[in-house]
Amino acid sequence: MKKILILLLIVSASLTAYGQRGLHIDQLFQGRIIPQERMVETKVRGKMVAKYQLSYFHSLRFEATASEVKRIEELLDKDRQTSYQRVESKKALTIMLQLQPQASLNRYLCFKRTGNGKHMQVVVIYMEGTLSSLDKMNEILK
Amino acid sequence: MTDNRLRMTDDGLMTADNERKIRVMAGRFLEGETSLEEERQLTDLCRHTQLPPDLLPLREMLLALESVGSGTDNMDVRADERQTAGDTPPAKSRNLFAKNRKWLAAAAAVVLLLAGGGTLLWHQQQNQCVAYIYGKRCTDQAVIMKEVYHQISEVSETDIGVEEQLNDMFGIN
Repeated sequence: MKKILILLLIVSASLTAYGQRGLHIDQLFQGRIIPQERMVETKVRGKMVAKYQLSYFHSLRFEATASEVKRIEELLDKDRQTSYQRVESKKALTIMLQLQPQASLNRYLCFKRTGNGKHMQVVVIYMEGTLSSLDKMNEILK
Repeated sequence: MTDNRLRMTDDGLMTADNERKIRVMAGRFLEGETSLEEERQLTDLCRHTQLPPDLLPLREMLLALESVGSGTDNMDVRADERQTAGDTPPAKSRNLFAKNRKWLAAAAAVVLLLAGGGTLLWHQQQNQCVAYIYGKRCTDQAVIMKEVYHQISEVSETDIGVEEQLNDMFGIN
């Protein structure tokens, strides 16, 4: 019986251990900061995103208040690992994070907010795959 | 302790004591209570001893059985040898298996279910394509991929144009 329980735990752990889990921003992806009814969430894994040299793509798009945006930025700051790029203008703020590779896959976290004021448009993307850099993504998109 | 084994006299004649013992053992043999060793002794004795007429049919039967049973005796010996060599599982382990058969079947079913479910889930996750648009699930690949492209393009546009930089610098909206 003990062996069956251990097997159960291993199987469930292997099924859940993927994606942005383990990062601070996971709270946002779990719907703990912005409820799912207020956002557009996209999850694509496999051949559909292979043309972007990705194996997993998980994005959120929503409108957020200044306090919500501030909280999200704090979480992103906690997740800063190998590479960090922040580009800010009056109209937009873009933060790009390159995370520690996991199982030979490169991982990226991108954040963009546009607009100033009470309601801002926010896009948060978690990506993983063989994509060597985010500059490479620009080349792919051209 | 008395010696119940039958012994022949040197001249092949039967003593009264032996006759009594043969009769007792023949009775036990007919009841199926004798061991193989006892049966062998009884057959040997009947073969080499002058028996009273009423025991002659018994001798015929024992000799016939001996000729037929020699093969089965060998089989018994081989079975004993196999068991000693460990080729067949001992009775104790067979009993243990039989006793836990229900649990083993249940465990096997659980493992199979987990493996099957896990494989199915894994396969689905390998090619997942789903969106939740303001809480509503959407699996339309065209809609989802349009959203993916739009979002990747949006975050990739980090280069601020010259005009925008100048506007930022001089505070022009």
